[in-house]
Amino acid sequence: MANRPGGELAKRPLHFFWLADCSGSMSVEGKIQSLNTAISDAIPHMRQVASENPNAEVLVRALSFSSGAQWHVAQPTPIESFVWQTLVARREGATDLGYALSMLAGQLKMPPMPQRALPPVAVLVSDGYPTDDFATGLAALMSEPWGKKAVRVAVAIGQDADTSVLERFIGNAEIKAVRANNPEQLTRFIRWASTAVLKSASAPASQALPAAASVPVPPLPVDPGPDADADVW
Amino acid sequence: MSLPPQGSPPRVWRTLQCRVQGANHAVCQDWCEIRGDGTNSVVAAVADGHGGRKYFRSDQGARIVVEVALAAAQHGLGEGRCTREWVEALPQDIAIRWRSQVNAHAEGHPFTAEEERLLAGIPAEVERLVPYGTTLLLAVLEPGFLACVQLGDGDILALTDDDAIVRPIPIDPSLIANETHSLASFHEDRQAAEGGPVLRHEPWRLARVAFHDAGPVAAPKLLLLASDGYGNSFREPVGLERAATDYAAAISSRGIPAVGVEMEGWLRETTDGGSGDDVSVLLVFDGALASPAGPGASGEGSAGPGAKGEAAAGRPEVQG
Repeated sequence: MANRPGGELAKRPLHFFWLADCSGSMSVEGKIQSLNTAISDAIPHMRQVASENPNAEVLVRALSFSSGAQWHVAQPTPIESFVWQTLVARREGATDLGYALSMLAGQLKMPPMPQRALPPVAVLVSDGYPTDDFATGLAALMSEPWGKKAVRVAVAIGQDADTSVLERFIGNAEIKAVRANNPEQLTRFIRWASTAVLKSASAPASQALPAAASVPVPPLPVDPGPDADADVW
Repeated sequence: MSLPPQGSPPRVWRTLQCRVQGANHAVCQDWCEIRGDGTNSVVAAVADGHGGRKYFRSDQGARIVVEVALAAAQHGLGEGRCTREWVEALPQDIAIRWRSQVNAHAEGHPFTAEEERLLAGIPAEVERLVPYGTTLLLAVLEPGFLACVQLGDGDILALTDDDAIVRPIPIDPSLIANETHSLASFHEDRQAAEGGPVLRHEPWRLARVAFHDAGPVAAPKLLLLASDGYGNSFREPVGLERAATDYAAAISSRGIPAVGVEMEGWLRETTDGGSGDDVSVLLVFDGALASPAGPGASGEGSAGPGAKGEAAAGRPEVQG
Protein backbone atom coordinates (compact mmCIF):
# COMPACT_ATOMS: atom_id res chain seq x y z
CA MET A 1 0.00 0.00 0.00
CA ALA A 2 1.28 3.46 -0.85
CA ASN A 3 2.01 5.89 1.99
CA ARG A 4 -0.92 7.78 3.40
CA PRO A 5 -1.06 11.37 2.12
CA GLY A 6 -0.44 14.10 4.63
CA GLY A 7 1.78 14.79 7.59
CA GLU A 8 2.14 13.27 11.03
CA LEU A 9 -1.10 12.25 12.67
CA ALA A 10 -1.89 13.12 16.26
CA LYS A 11 -4.72 12.89 18.71
CA ARG A 12 -6.35 16.15 19.63
CA PRO A 13 -4.81 17.62 22.78
CA LEU A 14 -7.04 18.17 25.80
CA HIS A 15 -5.33 20.34 28.37
CA PHE A 16 -6.48 19.73 31.94
CA PHE A 17 -5.55 22.19 34.69
CA TRP A 18 -5.77 21.82 38.47
CA LEU A 19 -5.87 25.21 40.19
CA ALA A 20 -5.21 24.49 43.86
CA ASP A 21 -5.55 26.83 46.82
CA CYS A 22 -2.48 26.45 49.06
CA SER A 23 -3.21 29.38 51.36
CA GLY A 24 -2.68 29.30 55.11
CA SER A 25 -6.23 28.12 55.86
CA MET A 26 -5.67 25.03 53.74
CA SER A 27 -2.98 23.93 56.21
CA VAL A 28 -5.49 23.26 59.00
CA GLU A 29 -8.09 20.54 59.63
CA GLY A 30 -6.42 18.22 57.13
CA LYS A 31 -7.69 20.11 54.08
CA ILE A 32 -4.52 20.05 51.99
CA GLN A 33 -3.93 16.43 52.88
CA SER A 34 -7.48 15.56 51.80
CA LEU A 35 -7.02 17.46 48.55
CA ASN A 36 -3.79 15.64 47.81
CA THR A 37 -5.47 12.33 48.50
CA ALA A 38 -8.51 13.19 46.41
CA ILE A 39 -6.47 14.19 43.37
CA SER A 40 -4.14 11.25 43.71
CA ASP A 41 -7.12 8.90 43.94
CA ALA A 42 -8.66 10.44 40.83
CA ILE A 43 -5.67 9.78 38.56
CA PRO A 44 -6.43 6.13 37.75
CA HIS A 45 -10.01 7.06 36.95
CA MET A 46 -8.81 9.86 34.67
CA ARG A 47 -6.62 7.30 32.90
CA GLN A 48 -9.64 5.09 32.44
CA VAL A 49 -11.63 7.94 30.90
CA ALA A 50 -8.72 8.78 28.64
CA SER A 51 -8.44 5.19 27.45
CA GLU A 52 -12.11 5.26 26.49
CA ASN A 53 -11.51 8.29 24.28
CA PRO A 54 -8.46 7.25 22.29
CA ASN A 55 -8.54 10.25 19.99
CA ALA A 56 -8.06 12.73 22.83
CA GLU A 57 -4.60 13.24 24.33
CA VAL A 58 -5.17 14.31 27.93
CA LEU A 59 -2.33 16.54 29.15
CA VAL A 60 -2.33 17.54 32.81
CA ARG A 61 -0.83 20.52 34.59
CA ALA A 62 -1.33 22.06 38.02
CA LEU A 63 -1.10 25.58 39.39
CA SER A 64 -0.91 26.32 43.09
CA PHE A 65 -1.66 29.71 44.60
CA SER A 66 -1.21 31.30 48.01
CA SER A 67 1.00 34.39 48.25
CA GLY A 68 1.61 34.57 44.53
CA ALA A 69 1.13 31.57 42.27
CA GLN A 70 3.41 29.01 40.71
CA TRP A 71 3.27 26.05 38.43
CA HIS A 72 3.15 22.93 40.57
CA VAL A 73 3.29 20.83 37.36
CA ALA A 74 4.49 23.10 34.58
CA GLN A 75 4.82 20.72 31.66
CA PRO A 76 1.72 19.32 29.97
CA THR A 77 2.01 15.72 31.13
CA PRO A 78 0.19 12.82 29.47
CA ILE A 79 -2.25 11.38 31.95
CA GLU A 80 -0.81 7.94 31.36
CA SER A 81 2.45 9.00 32.99
CA PHE A 82 1.12 11.67 35.33
CA VAL A 83 2.02 11.24 38.99
CA TRP A 84 0.56 13.60 41.54
CA GLN A 85 3.15 15.52 43.52
CA THR A 86 2.05 16.47 47.00
CA LEU A 87 0.93 20.04 47.49
CA VAL A 88 1.99 21.90 50.62
CA ALA A 89 -0.04 24.76 52.05
CA ARG A 90 1.83 27.86 53.16
CA ARG A 91 1.17 28.89 56.71
CA GLU A 92 0.24 32.59 56.64
CA GLY A 93 -0.10 32.28 52.85
CA ALA A 94 -2.60 34.57 51.08
CA THR A 95 -5.02 33.56 48.31
CA ASP A 96 -3.74 35.12 45.09
CA LEU A 97 -6.32 33.55 42.81
CA GLY A 98 -6.27 36.52 40.43
CA TYR A 99 -2.59 36.02 39.75
CA ALA A 100 -3.14 32.30 39.19
CA LEU A 101 -5.81 33.06 36.62
CA SER A 102 -3.52 35.42 34.75
CA MET A 103 -0.87 32.69 34.65
CA LEU A 104 -3.45 30.27 33.30
CA ALA A 105 -4.46 32.83 30.69
CA GLY A 106 -0.86 32.91 29.47
CA GLN A 107 -1.00 29.22 28.68
CA LEU A 108 -4.25 29.53 26.79
CA LYS A 109 -2.97 32.00 24.21
CA MET A 110 -2.54 30.85 20.59
CA PRO A 111 0.21 29.73 20.52
CA PRO A 112 0.92 27.69 22.57
CA MET A 113 -2.64 26.41 22.25
CA PRO A 114 -3.25 24.96 18.78
CA GLN A 115 -6.48 25.64 16.92
CA ARG A 116 -7.22 21.90 16.70
CA ALA A 117 -7.21 21.36 20.48
CA LEU A 118 -10.24 20.09 22.34
CA PRO A 119 -11.80 22.45 24.91
CA PRO A 120 -9.48 22.63 27.94
CA VAL A 121 -10.73 21.81 31.42
CA ALA A 122 -9.85 23.91 34.46
CA VAL A 123 -10.77 22.73 37.95
CA LEU A 124 -10.45 25.33 40.70
CA VAL A 125 -10.35 24.17 44.32
CA SER A 126 -10.42 26.74 47.12
CA ASP A 127 -11.44 27.09 50.74
CA GLY A 128 -11.58 30.86 50.93
CA TYR A 129 -11.76 34.01 48.90
CA PRO A 130 -9.22 35.89 46.77
CA THR A 131 -6.94 38.35 48.50
CA ASP A 132 -5.60 39.91 45.29
CA ASP A 133 -7.13 41.48 42.17
CA PHE A 134 -9.37 38.61 41.14
CA ALA A 135 -11.31 40.66 38.59
CA THR A 136 -8.20 41.52 36.57
CA GLY A 137 -7.05 37.92 36.57
CA LEU A 138 -10.47 36.67 35.49
CA ALA A 139 -10.63 39.30 32.77
CA ALA A 140 -7.23 38.18 31.48
CA LEU A 141 -8.46 34.61 31.33
CA MET A 142 -11.72 35.48 29.61
CA SER A 143 -9.99 37.72 27.08
CA GLU A 144 -8.35 34.64 25.62
CA PRO A 145 -10.60 32.69 23.21
CA TRP A 146 -9.43 29.44 24.78
CA GLY A 147 -10.06 30.85 28.22
CA LYS A 148 -13.67 31.52 27.27
CA LYS A 149 -14.09 28.10 25.68
CA ALA A 150 -12.48 26.23 28.59
CA VAL A 151 -14.76 24.06 30.68
CA ARG A 152 -14.44 25.65 34.10
CA VAL A 153 -15.67 23.98 37.25
CA ALA A 154 -14.99 24.74 40.90
CA VAL A 155 -14.96 22.90 44.21
CA ALA A 156 -15.34 24.88 47.41
CA ILE A 157 -13.79 23.38 50.53
CA GLY A 158 -15.69 24.20 53.67
CA GLN A 159 -18.15 26.87 54.71
CA ASP A 160 -15.75 29.80 54.41
CA ALA A 161 -15.24 29.41 50.68
CA ASP A 162 -16.72 32.23 48.63
CA THR A 163 -18.84 30.40 46.10
CA SER A 164 -19.86 33.63 44.37
CA VAL A 165 -16.24 34.10 43.30
CA LEU A 166 -16.01 30.50 42.22
CA GLU A 167 -19.14 30.90 40.15
CA ARG A 168 -17.74 33.99 38.48
CA PHE A 169 -14.84 31.78 37.47
CA ILE A 170 -17.24 29.15 36.16
CA GLY A 171 -19.10 31.81 34.19
CA ASN A 172 -22.13 29.66 33.41
CA ALA A 173 -25.38 30.27 35.24
CA GLU A 174 -26.35 26.63 34.81
CA ILE A 175 -23.29 25.33 36.63
CA LYS A 176 -22.82 25.92 40.33
CA ALA A 177 -19.72 25.48 42.43
CA VAL A 178 -19.91 22.36 44.55
CA ARG A 179 -19.12 22.57 48.26
CA ALA A 180 -17.24 19.79 50.03
CA ASN A 181 -17.65 19.80 53.79
CA ASN A 182 -15.66 16.67 54.56
CA PRO A 183 -12.95 14.56 52.92
CA GLU A 184 -15.38 12.05 51.45
CA GLN A 185 -17.31 14.77 49.65
CA LEU A 186 -14.07 16.31 48.42
CA THR A 187 -12.99 12.97 46.99
CA ARG A 188 -16.32 12.55 45.25
CA PHE A 189 -16.38 16.05 43.79
CA ILE A 190 -12.78 15.87 42.67
CA ARG A 191 -13.51 12.59 40.94
CA TRP A 192 -16.54 14.11 39.21
CA ALA A 193 -14.55 17.12 38.08
CA SER A 194 -11.71 15.00 36.79
CA THR A 195 -13.67 12.18 35.15
CA ALA A 196 -17.22 13.07 34.19
CA VAL A 197 -16.21 16.53 33.06
CA LEU A 198 -13.11 15.17 31.33
CA LYS A 199 -15.19 12.57 29.53
CA SER A 200 -17.58 15.21 28.26
CA ALA A 201 -14.74 17.38 26.98
CA SER A 202 -12.96 14.43 25.35
CA ALA A 203 -15.50 13.77 22.66
CA PRO A 204 -17.57 16.89 22.19
CA ALA A 205 -20.02 17.24 19.34
CA SER A 206 -19.86 20.37 17.25
CA GLN A 207 -21.83 23.31 18.57
CA ALA A 208 -23.40 25.87 16.32
CA LEU A 209 -22.56 29.40 17.33
CA PRO A 210 -23.80 31.14 19.33
CA ALA A 211 -23.27 28.36 21.85
CA ALA A 212 -23.98 28.69 25.56
CA ALA A 213 -21.04 26.41 26.23
CA SER A 214 -18.78 24.40 23.98
CA VAL A 215 -19.15 21.34 26.21
CA PRO A 216 -22.20 20.31 28.24
CA VAL A 217 -21.13 19.76 31.85
CA PRO A 218 -22.52 16.51 33.26
CA PRO A 219 -24.69 16.61 36.37
CA LEU A 220 -23.11 16.72 39.79
CA PRO A 221 -22.78 13.57 41.86
CA VAL A 222 -25.48 12.93 44.47
CA ASP A 223 -24.29 12.65 48.06
CA PRO A 224 -24.65 9.07 49.30
CA GLY A 225 -25.20 7.88 52.87
CA PRO A 226 -25.45 9.50 56.29
CA ASP A 227 -21.68 9.74 56.86
CA ALA A 228 -21.42 12.21 54.06
CA ASP A 229 -23.41 14.68 56.15
CA ALA A 230 -20.70 15.03 58.81
CA ASP A 231 -19.28 18.50 58.29
CA VAL A 232 -15.62 18.77 59.11
CA TRP A 233 -14.82 22.02 57.40
CA MET B 1 3.83 31.86 -9.73
CA SER B 2 3.62 30.46 -13.27
CA LEU B 3 0.41 30.44 -15.26
CA PRO B 4 -0.86 28.02 -17.82
CA PRO B 5 0.14 29.10 -21.31
CA GLN B 6 -2.27 31.61 -22.80
CA GLY B 7 -4.60 30.09 -25.24
CA SER B 8 -4.28 26.65 -23.72
CA PRO B 9 -7.51 24.67 -23.66
CA PRO B 10 -9.52 24.75 -20.44
CA ARG B 11 -8.76 22.01 -18.01
CA VAL B 12 -10.72 18.83 -18.00
CA TRP B 13 -11.42 18.13 -14.38
CA ARG B 14 -11.30 14.72 -12.82
CA THR B 15 -12.60 13.99 -9.38
CA LEU B 16 -12.25 11.68 -6.43
CA GLN B 17 -14.12 11.64 -3.17
CA CYS B 18 -14.34 9.54 -0.08
CA ARG B 19 -16.23 9.73 3.18
CA VAL B 20 -15.41 7.69 6.28
CA GLN B 21 -17.34 7.50 9.53
CA GLY B 22 -15.32 8.33 12.62
CA ALA B 23 -14.82 5.81 15.39
CA ASN B 24 -16.39 8.24 17.85
CA HIS B 25 -19.66 8.48 15.95
CA ALA B 26 -22.70 6.25 15.79
CA VAL B 27 -23.88 7.81 12.53
CA CYS B 28 -21.78 9.52 9.89
CA GLN B 29 -22.68 13.19 9.93
CA ASP B 30 -20.72 14.14 6.82
CA TRP B 31 -22.16 14.23 3.33
CA CYS B 32 -20.43 15.12 0.07
CA GLU B 33 -20.89 15.07 -3.67
CA ILE B 34 -19.09 16.20 -6.80
CA ARG B 35 -20.71 16.73 -10.19
CA GLY B 36 -18.98 17.21 -13.50
CA ASP B 37 -16.23 14.62 -13.50
CA GLY B 38 -14.55 14.56 -16.88
CA THR B 39 -15.78 17.98 -17.93
CA ASN B 40 -14.43 21.49 -17.63
CA SER B 41 -17.17 22.54 -15.24
CA VAL B 42 -17.33 21.02 -11.77
CA VAL B 43 -19.28 21.71 -8.60
CA ALA B 44 -18.26 20.07 -5.35
CA ALA B 45 -19.72 20.27 -1.86
CA VAL B 46 -19.07 18.76 1.54
CA ALA B 47 -21.17 19.27 4.66
CA ASP B 48 -20.56 18.23 8.26
CA GLY B 49 -23.62 17.76 10.44
CA HIS B 50 -23.02 18.81 14.02
CA GLY B 51 -24.04 15.60 15.76
CA GLY B 52 -24.80 15.95 19.45
CA ARG B 53 -28.05 15.66 21.32
CA LYS B 54 -29.96 18.60 19.93
CA TYR B 55 -28.68 18.07 16.38
CA PHE B 56 -30.40 14.73 15.98
CA ARG B 57 -31.11 15.20 12.27
CA SER B 58 -27.87 16.89 11.27
CA ASP B 59 -26.99 14.01 8.96
CA GLN B 60 -30.16 14.91 7.07
CA GLY B 61 -29.28 18.58 7.21
CA ALA B 62 -25.90 17.82 5.68
CA ARG B 63 -27.47 15.87 2.81
CA ILE B 64 -29.98 18.63 2.16
CA VAL B 65 -27.42 21.43 2.05
CA VAL B 66 -25.14 19.54 -0.32
CA GLU B 67 -28.04 18.94 -2.66
CA VAL B 68 -29.30 22.53 -2.63
CA ALA B 69 -25.79 23.98 -2.87
CA LEU B 70 -24.92 21.92 -5.92
CA ALA B 71 -28.27 22.67 -7.50
CA ALA B 72 -27.88 26.40 -6.88
CA ALA B 73 -24.36 26.36 -8.28
CA GLN B 74 -25.30 24.38 -11.38
CA HIS B 75 -28.30 26.59 -11.99
CA GLY B 76 -26.11 29.68 -11.96
CA LEU B 77 -23.53 28.11 -14.22
CA GLY B 78 -26.22 27.05 -16.62
CA GLU B 79 -27.29 30.66 -16.91
CA GLY B 80 -23.72 31.87 -17.39
CA ARG B 81 -23.54 33.79 -14.13
CA CYS B 82 -19.88 33.40 -13.34
CA THR B 83 -19.52 36.73 -11.60
CA ARG B 84 -18.42 37.93 -8.21
CA GLU B 85 -21.91 39.25 -7.50
CA TRP B 86 -23.45 35.88 -8.19
CA VAL B 87 -20.97 34.15 -5.90
CA GLU B 88 -21.58 36.65 -3.11
CA ALA B 89 -25.32 36.01 -3.36
CA LEU B 90 -24.93 32.23 -3.30
CA PRO B 91 -24.87 31.82 0.52
CA GLN B 92 -28.24 33.49 0.89
CA ASP B 93 -29.67 31.53 -2.02
CA ILE B 94 -28.44 28.26 -0.52
CA ALA B 95 -29.53 29.07 3.04
CA ILE B 96 -33.05 29.99 1.97
CA ARG B 97 -33.39 26.84 -0.11
CA TRP B 98 -32.00 24.79 2.78
CA ARG B 99 -34.44 26.31 5.24
CA SER B 100 -37.34 25.58 2.93
CA GLN B 101 -36.36 21.96 2.47
CA VAL B 102 -35.63 21.45 6.15
CA ASN B 103 -39.00 22.87 7.11
CA ALA B 104 -40.66 20.59 4.59
CA HIS B 105 -38.79 17.59 5.93
CA ALA B 106 -39.71 18.48 9.52
CA GLU B 107 -43.33 18.94 8.46
CA GLY B 108 -43.39 15.49 6.92
CA HIS B 109 -41.46 13.90 9.79
CA PRO B 110 -42.69 15.51 13.02
CA PHE B 111 -40.39 15.44 16.02
CA THR B 112 -41.08 12.80 18.64
CA ALA B 113 -41.81 13.75 22.24
CA GLU B 114 -38.26 12.80 23.19
CA GLU B 115 -36.83 14.94 20.39
CA GLU B 116 -39.01 17.86 21.48
CA ARG B 117 -37.52 17.53 24.99
CA LEU B 118 -34.04 17.81 23.56
CA LEU B 119 -35.02 21.14 22.05
CA ALA B 120 -36.02 22.73 25.34
CA GLY B 121 -34.71 26.26 25.46
CA ILE B 122 -34.35 26.63 21.69
CA PRO B 123 -36.33 29.64 20.42
CA ALA B 124 -39.49 28.59 18.64
CA GLU B 125 -38.53 30.54 15.51
CA VAL B 126 -35.57 28.25 14.84
CA GLU B 127 -36.61 25.14 16.69
CA ARG B 128 -37.23 23.21 13.48
CA LEU B 129 -33.88 24.16 11.97
CA VAL B 130 -31.45 23.48 14.82
CA PRO B 131 -31.71 19.67 14.70
CA TYR B 132 -30.55 19.80 11.08
CA GLY B 133 -27.56 22.03 11.81
CA THR B 134 -24.62 21.60 9.46
CA THR B 135 -21.65 23.33 7.90
CA LEU B 136 -20.99 23.73 4.17
CA LEU B 137 -18.01 23.92 1.84
CA LEU B 138 -18.75 24.54 -1.84
CA ALA B 139 -16.41 24.91 -4.81
CA VAL B 140 -17.35 25.85 -8.36
CA LEU B 141 -14.84 25.50 -11.18
CA GLU B 142 -15.45 26.81 -14.66
CA PRO B 143 -12.80 27.60 -17.28
CA GLY B 144 -10.66 30.33 -15.71
CA PHE B 145 -12.93 30.69 -12.70
CA LEU B 146 -12.93 29.31 -9.19
CA ALA B 147 -15.54 30.24 -6.62
CA CYS B 148 -15.71 28.96 -3.06
CA VAL B 149 -18.31 29.31 -0.35
CA GLN B 150 -17.68 28.35 3.25
CA LEU B 151 -20.07 28.39 6.21
CA GLY B 152 -18.48 26.88 9.30
CA ASP B 153 -15.38 24.78 9.73
CA GLY B 154 -13.54 22.60 7.23
CA ASP B 155 -10.79 23.30 4.73
CA ILE B 156 -10.42 24.23 1.08
CA LEU B 157 -6.89 24.10 -0.33
CA ALA B 158 -5.72 24.86 -3.86
CA LEU B 159 -2.47 23.43 -5.23
CA THR B 160 -1.23 25.66 -8.03
CA ASP B 161 0.76 24.63 -11.09
CA ASP B 162 3.99 25.63 -9.35
CA ASP B 163 3.07 23.58 -6.29
CA ALA B 164 2.14 26.44 -4.00
CA ILE B 165 -0.64 25.80 -1.50
CA VAL B 166 -3.24 28.54 -1.32
CA ARG B 167 -6.31 28.73 0.87
CA PRO B 168 -8.94 30.55 -1.21
CA ILE B 169 -10.75 31.17 2.09
CA PRO B 170 -8.44 31.78 5.07
CA ILE B 171 -8.79 29.88 8.32
CA ASP B 172 -11.23 31.49 10.73
CA PRO B 173 -9.32 31.69 14.03
CA SER B 174 -12.54 32.14 15.99
CA LEU B 175 -13.72 28.63 15.18
CA ILE B 176 -12.14 26.61 17.96
CA ALA B 177 -13.27 24.12 20.59
CA ASN B 178 -15.64 22.38 18.18
CA GLU B 179 -17.73 25.53 17.81
CA THR B 180 -18.71 26.45 14.30
CA HIS B 181 -20.94 28.65 12.21
CA SER B 182 -23.91 26.78 10.89
CA LEU B 183 -26.79 26.75 8.46
CA ALA B 184 -28.87 26.73 11.65
CA SER B 185 -27.17 29.81 13.18
CA PHE B 186 -29.43 32.66 14.18
CA HIS B 187 -29.00 36.01 15.85
CA GLU B 188 -31.00 38.65 17.69
CA ASP B 189 -31.75 41.78 15.73
CA ARG B 190 -31.89 44.50 18.34
CA GLN B 191 -32.40 47.16 15.69
CA ALA B 192 -35.81 45.81 14.72
CA ALA B 193 -38.33 48.60 14.20
CA GLU B 194 -40.77 47.73 16.95
CA GLY B 195 -41.65 45.12 19.51
CA GLY B 196 -38.15 44.50 20.85
CA PRO B 197 -35.38 42.22 19.56
CA VAL B 198 -36.31 39.90 16.74
CA LEU B 199 -34.70 36.56 16.10
CA ARG B 200 -33.36 36.26 12.58
CA HIS B 201 -32.19 33.24 10.67
CA GLU B 202 -29.63 34.78 8.31
CA PRO B 203 -26.70 32.38 8.38
CA TRP B 204 -25.45 33.75 5.08
CA ARG B 205 -24.06 36.70 7.04
CA LEU B 206 -21.57 34.24 8.56
CA ALA B 207 -20.53 32.75 5.23
CA ARG B 208 -17.29 33.62 3.50
CA VAL B 209 -16.76 33.50 -0.23
CA ALA B 210 -13.80 33.56 -2.59
CA PHE B 211 -13.83 34.46 -6.25
CA HIS B 212 -10.88 34.00 -8.57
CA ASP B 213 -11.13 34.75 -12.27
CA ALA B 214 -7.45 35.31 -12.84
CA GLY B 215 -4.17 33.97 -11.58
CA PRO B 216 -3.07 30.48 -10.68
CA VAL B 217 -5.82 29.84 -8.14
CA ALA B 218 -8.50 30.31 -10.81
CA ALA B 219 -7.30 27.05 -12.41
CA PRO B 220 -5.49 25.05 -9.75
CA LYS B 221 -3.68 21.82 -10.44
CA LEU B 222 -5.69 20.26 -7.62
CA LEU B 223 -8.38 21.45 -5.27
CA LEU B 224 -8.99 19.68 -1.95
CA LEU B 225 -12.10 20.11 0.14
CA ALA B 226 -12.29 18.39 3.52
CA SER B 227 -14.48 18.31 6.57
CA ASP B 228 -12.74 19.42 9.76
CA GLY B 229 -12.17 15.89 10.98
CA TYR B 230 -9.46 15.59 8.35
CA GLY B 231 -7.46 18.72 9.17
CA ASN B 232 -7.88 18.08 12.90
CA SER B 233 -6.10 14.77 12.51
CA PHE B 234 -2.72 16.28 11.64
CA ARG B 235 -0.36 17.41 14.36
CA GLU B 236 0.50 20.58 12.43
CA PRO B 237 -1.43 22.63 9.84
CA VAL B 238 1.32 21.89 7.32
CA GLY B 239 0.29 18.23 7.56
CA LEU B 240 -2.97 19.01 5.77
CA GLU B 241 -1.15 21.07 3.16
CA ARG B 242 1.13 18.14 2.53
CA ALA B 243 -1.92 15.96 1.91
CA ALA B 244 -2.87 18.08 -1.10
CA THR B 245 0.61 17.78 -2.51
CA ASP B 246 0.79 14.06 -1.77
CA TYR B 247 -2.53 13.35 -3.44
CA ALA B 248 -1.38 15.16 -6.58
CA ALA B 249 1.83 13.15 -6.58
CA ALA B 250 -0.03 9.90 -6.04
CA ILE B 251 -2.48 10.61 -8.87
CA SER B 252 0.43 11.46 -11.11
CA SER B 253 2.49 8.39 -10.30
CA ARG B 254 -0.19 5.76 -9.76
CA GLY B 255 -3.23 6.93 -11.68
CA ILE B 256 -6.76 7.79 -10.70
CA PRO B 257 -8.30 4.37 -10.08
CA ALA B 258 -5.43 3.26 -7.84
CA VAL B 259 -5.71 6.37 -5.69
CA GLY B 260 -9.46 5.99 -5.52
CA VAL B 261 -9.10 2.46 -4.25
CA GLU B 262 -6.63 3.52 -1.57
CA MET B 263 -8.58 6.52 -0.31
CA GLU B 264 -10.83 4.70 2.09
CA GLY B 265 -7.89 3.06 3.82
CA TRP B 266 -5.99 6.32 3.99
CA LEU B 267 -8.92 8.22 5.46
CA ARG B 268 -9.60 5.42 7.93
CA GLU B 269 -5.97 5.51 9.02
CA THR B 270 -6.16 9.30 9.32
CA THR B 271 -9.23 9.45 11.53
CA ASP B 272 -8.19 6.49 13.66
CA GLY B 273 -4.77 7.99 14.32
CA GLY B 274 -6.03 11.53 14.57
CA SER B 275 -9.33 13.17 15.34
CA GLY B 276 -11.67 10.16 15.50
CA ASP B 277 -14.20 12.34 13.67
CA ASP B 278 -16.02 11.66 10.39
CA VAL B 279 -13.72 12.54 7.52
CA SER B 280 -14.66 13.56 3.99
CA VAL B 281 -12.15 14.47 1.32
CA LEU B 282 -13.05 15.69 -2.16
CA LEU B 283 -10.43 16.16 -4.86
CA VAL B 284 -10.90 18.06 -8.09
CA PHE B 285 -7.82 18.01 -10.29
CA ASP B 286 -6.51 18.57 -13.77
CA GLY B 287 -7.05 15.36 -15.68
CA ALA B 288 -3.62 15.80 -17.21
CA LEU B 289 -2.15 15.17 -13.77
CA ALA B 290 -2.76 11.45 -14.11
CA SER B 291 0.18 9.47 -15.35
CA PRO B 292 0.22 9.32 -19.17
CA ALA B 293 1.35 5.74 -18.91
CA GLY B 294 -0.96 4.77 -16.11
CA PRO B 295 -4.35 3.19 -16.19
CA GLY B 296 -6.17 6.35 -15.22
CA ALA B 297 -4.86 8.68 -17.84
CA SER B 298 -7.55 8.35 -20.39
CA GLY B 299 -10.20 7.18 -18.06
CA GLU B 300 -9.59 3.46 -18.14
CA GLY B 301 -11.66 1.91 -15.40
CA SER B 302 -13.66 5.11 -15.16
CA ALA B 303 -16.18 7.22 -16.94
CA GLY B 304 -14.50 9.00 -19.84
CA PRO B 305 -14.16 12.74 -20.32
CA GLY B 306 -17.42 14.48 -20.81
CA ALA B 307 -19.34 11.75 -19.08
CA LYS B 308 -20.68 11.92 -15.60
CA GLY B 309 -19.03 9.91 -12.95
CA GLU B 310 -17.39 10.04 -9.66
CA ALA B 311 -17.38 6.33 -10.19
CA ALA B 312 -14.09 7.08 -11.86
CA ALA B 313 -12.19 5.61 -9.03
CA GLY B 314 -12.84 4.55 -5.54
CA ARG B 315 -16.14 4.47 -3.86
CA PRO B 316 -18.00 7.76 -3.67
CA GLU B 317 -19.37 6.99 -0.27
CA VAL B 318 -17.62 4.74 2.10
CA GLN B 319 -18.81 4.40 5.64
CA GLY B 320 -16.44 2.93 8.14
